[in-house]
Amino acid sequence: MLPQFFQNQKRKVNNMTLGLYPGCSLKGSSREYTESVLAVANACGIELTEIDDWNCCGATAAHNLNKELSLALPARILSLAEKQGMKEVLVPCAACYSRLTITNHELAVHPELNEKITKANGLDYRGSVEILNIIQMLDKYVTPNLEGRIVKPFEHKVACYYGCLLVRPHEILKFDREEDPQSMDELMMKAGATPIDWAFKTECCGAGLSVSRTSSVGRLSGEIMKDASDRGAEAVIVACPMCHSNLDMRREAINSYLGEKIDIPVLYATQVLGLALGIDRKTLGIQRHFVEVNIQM
Amino acid sequence: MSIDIPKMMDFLREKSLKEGKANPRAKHIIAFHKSFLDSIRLTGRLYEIGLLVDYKSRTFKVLQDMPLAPKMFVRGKLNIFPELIKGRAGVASIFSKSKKKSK
Amino acid sequence: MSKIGVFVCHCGENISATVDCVKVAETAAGYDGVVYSIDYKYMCSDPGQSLIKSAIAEKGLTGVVVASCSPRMHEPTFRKACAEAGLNPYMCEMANLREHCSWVHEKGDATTEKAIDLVRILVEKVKKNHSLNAIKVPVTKTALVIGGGIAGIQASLDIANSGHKVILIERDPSIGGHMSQLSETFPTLDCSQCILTPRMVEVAQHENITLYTYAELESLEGFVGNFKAKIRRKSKSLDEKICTGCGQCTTKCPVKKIPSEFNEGLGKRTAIYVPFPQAVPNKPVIDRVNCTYYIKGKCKVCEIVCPTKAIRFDQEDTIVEAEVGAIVVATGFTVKQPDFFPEYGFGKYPDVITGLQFERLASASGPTLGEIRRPSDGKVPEKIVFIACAGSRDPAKGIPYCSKICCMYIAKHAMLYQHKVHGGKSYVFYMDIRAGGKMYEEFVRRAIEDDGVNYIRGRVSRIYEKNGKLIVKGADTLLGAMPVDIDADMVVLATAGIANEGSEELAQKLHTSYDSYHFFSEAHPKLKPVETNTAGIFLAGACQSPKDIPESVAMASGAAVKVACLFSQDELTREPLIAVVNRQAAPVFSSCVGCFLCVSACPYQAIEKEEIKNRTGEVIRTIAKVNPGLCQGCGTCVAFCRTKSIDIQGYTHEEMYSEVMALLNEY
Repeated sequence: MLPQFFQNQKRKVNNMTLGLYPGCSLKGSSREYTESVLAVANACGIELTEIDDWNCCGATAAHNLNKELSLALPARILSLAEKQGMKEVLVPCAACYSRLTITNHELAVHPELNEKITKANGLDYRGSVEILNIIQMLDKYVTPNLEGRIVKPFEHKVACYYGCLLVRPHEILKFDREEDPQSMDELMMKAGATPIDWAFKTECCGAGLSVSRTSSVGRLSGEIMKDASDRGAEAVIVACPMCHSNLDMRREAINSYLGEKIDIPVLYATQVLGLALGIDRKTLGIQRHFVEVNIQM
Repeated sequence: MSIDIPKMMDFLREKSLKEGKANPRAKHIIAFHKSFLDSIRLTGRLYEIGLLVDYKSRTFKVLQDMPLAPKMFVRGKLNIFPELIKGRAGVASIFSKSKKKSK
Repeated sequence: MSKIGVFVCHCGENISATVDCVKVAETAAGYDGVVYSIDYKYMCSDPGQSLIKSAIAEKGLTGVVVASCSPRMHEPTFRKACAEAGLNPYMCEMANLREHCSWVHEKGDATTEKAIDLVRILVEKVKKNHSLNAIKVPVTKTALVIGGGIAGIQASLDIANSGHKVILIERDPSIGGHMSQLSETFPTLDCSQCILTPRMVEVAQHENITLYTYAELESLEGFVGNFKAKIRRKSKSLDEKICTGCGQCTTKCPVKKIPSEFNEGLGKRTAIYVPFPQAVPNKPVIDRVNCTYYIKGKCKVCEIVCPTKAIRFDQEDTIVEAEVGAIVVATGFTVKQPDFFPEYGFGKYPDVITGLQFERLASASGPTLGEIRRPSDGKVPEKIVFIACAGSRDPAKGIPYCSKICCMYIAKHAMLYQHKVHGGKSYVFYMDIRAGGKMYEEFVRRAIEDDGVNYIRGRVSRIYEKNGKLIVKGADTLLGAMPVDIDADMVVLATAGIANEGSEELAQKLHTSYDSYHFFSEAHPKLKPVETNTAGIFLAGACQSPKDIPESVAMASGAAVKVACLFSQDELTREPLIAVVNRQAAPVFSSCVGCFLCVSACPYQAIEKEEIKNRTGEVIRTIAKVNPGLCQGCGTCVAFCRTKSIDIQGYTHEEMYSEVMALLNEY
């Protein structure tokens, strides 16, 4: 809808093309995530090149219903990225990150799948693409250069919510740790925030049951918000559009389950970083959230 | 030695559908996933409005989430038109090849 | 000139059913060198053996071939018979017509032909046999017991009481081991220290036992009956002979905040310390890692207050050399810290503790003087949760085996809690209840029925802290995997029992085998649980596998008996079927060139270097020499030797070659 967000600006990162796989949510119902990712990247001089003609990764629906489909759809994306000369691809959505990384791993560990999945579908993938989630990308390219650039430290108590797919399964993702992860907390500290220790960092929000079982989402996400609220969090920080949607868009279901109104806002980690870097709210898409974000900036 | 539980769960889901033994209480969940896949088979990317229309036609929950649509639209979160990728024939063929062995 | 006698056995019908024994005997009679050949129904019986003995006497036999069953069955029988008749027992060989022939083939000419072949090749071998004599090795009647826990203590007392000397070494400052840390023991709820300390004192005062604490094995050489051990006595930084154990130094030491190992980190100790009040010996040691004097060169308060001036800051480790005849390994076990289960929060939440830490809380000499209190705020827990199998039976994250003692001690802990905290609620999450000993099952039932402990069959998936409580999320699988959430005040994890630290290094020093878990390997899991494959080294207690106190004590006594058995002879007799390096007259001395490939090949470290000197004492050559006490006759060195200088007695090159040639040549 707003094409300028997807222009290619020719400033490469370390002489290497850093690809971007937005995924379906970031183009539609979670477009503010993309807005904040690009805003932060632009502010730090990082060029992100969207993969040309990417397709949906299949998300939960594919791996629940059809194993081959769940590997073939991401394989198409990986082979496109490889052909387009991308060594690293940033995948801000945690679900797409999970599917792409797992597919990368399966194709590497089971070479016989290459016949069935890639060649049979006219694809050719050599396994050279590395998938980065948003925190990995920020830790690699942004935070080393943050010294002196934080103009408005985000001085609030935040509950960092990792959800299910950012740190599990550890053997494949090899990122952070499964119990009490700290990578997002450390990132938030660099933005000036105070992350709290709480018990629901990696508990499920209800994921893809948002439409088909909204009551379950109300219960699961409700427990998460309640714990964050009980421990004095002023905001819940996420790195996944599904988690954001369940904790934010489905706040009515949460409030109805808890029998009380919780008005703690939910922000993307990139939005918090963006605010700390002095970028304005509109560029970061904060007005698009369902739960009002009226904490002091 | 550990057991890959998510892989096992996915396998059981696929198998239960193939053998027609899916729990009737999971009707809506399965319908949602099928609508999701239908949407991307046609265009290559998810078209939310198409997904919801398909879902409601499968489940007859026509009024569900109706008040949500305008709220999403107002916040710029709802695309009116689907995005058709250039390689959607390739995507459709991926679908048909993978369906060969399943139901 | 050889005079061989061949004795073909029918073995009832075992051999004669498929082999024509008469024909075998007749054919053998025609061989060169065979002067007597008969067949008989039961060669191993008394009349059968008499046949052999009279034939030796009457015919002057120089060699005997008994064609019957497997040598594993009756070789000792027939060799003894020959010896009684005056023929060297190693001139008697057996042809296995049963396991190698009649039992594995059908009746027929080919079978009989095979039997004839088997007899022929042994006849040719026996012609080349030499007389051999059993080897005698002297025995030093002192035992070394490594480890001063209940197993080591029991073994030491048993050996000492049988009249032999014992050297007991323990690497901690006091003996007692884990049993001294326990509060009460199952299934009798006896006070652990009350039953242990009398034994500890007995060990210290026994005239046959030399006790070295704060000491470890430095190195070991030698073989059964003749070990040479070097023991490192770590410096305690004090003169034990003049220290009276008054304890002034420990009260005045300014460094007071070191986590106490004896109290599993729940209490504190000083830098100069006695691990617990009933320690044996009741003398302190200085922990040089944490003592201000060794770090900064200041303080010395203990030296100032000591009434007998026993402190010796400059004291160094000493090495004691000891000659011992047998070794008992009783080094015990340790617990696997459950921090590899981050979902249980051990290490993050102070109120999640291990079973051994609970023992210290429940113990009257512990940091809380026997009251069950939360480490975080000192309050008495109203709800306590015990989690079984926190690390055991877990191939994915922990250890795959069962630690054996946890089901019992969890029941014990829950009972102690219920006795001490009236109105408290206890819960046990278990997978199975293993209570196989005497009075064990009844003990667990008491916990459930009399003391009201809630047993829930299921695992705990997560523990987190909220508002000062520990939220335990588990499931009750007997009620259809119903979720069970308990907001507990304290959680006790039944940790896995694993091999003690340093087990691998010790096993390598002792040249004895150990398994992938670093537990010491027994010689045979069923029939030889206290022996190892290394002659002279015995095992006692949990160093072999996790076990409770009665089993450790029984095993220790078993090991002690084996040691006493070894010491009951002044000399050890060994079979002479060992390797020998050839020796010839000067100036050759031996065809061995001194390459010592055999030394590296030998799995038993049985080959040494021998220096050949001339009259003035100058070394002319160094050649290999086999230690007859250690060699097991495996033959690896023979295969390695490039000059064919080493040979196995009883299976020499000549003898084996003649067997092969006899097989290939028709008679």
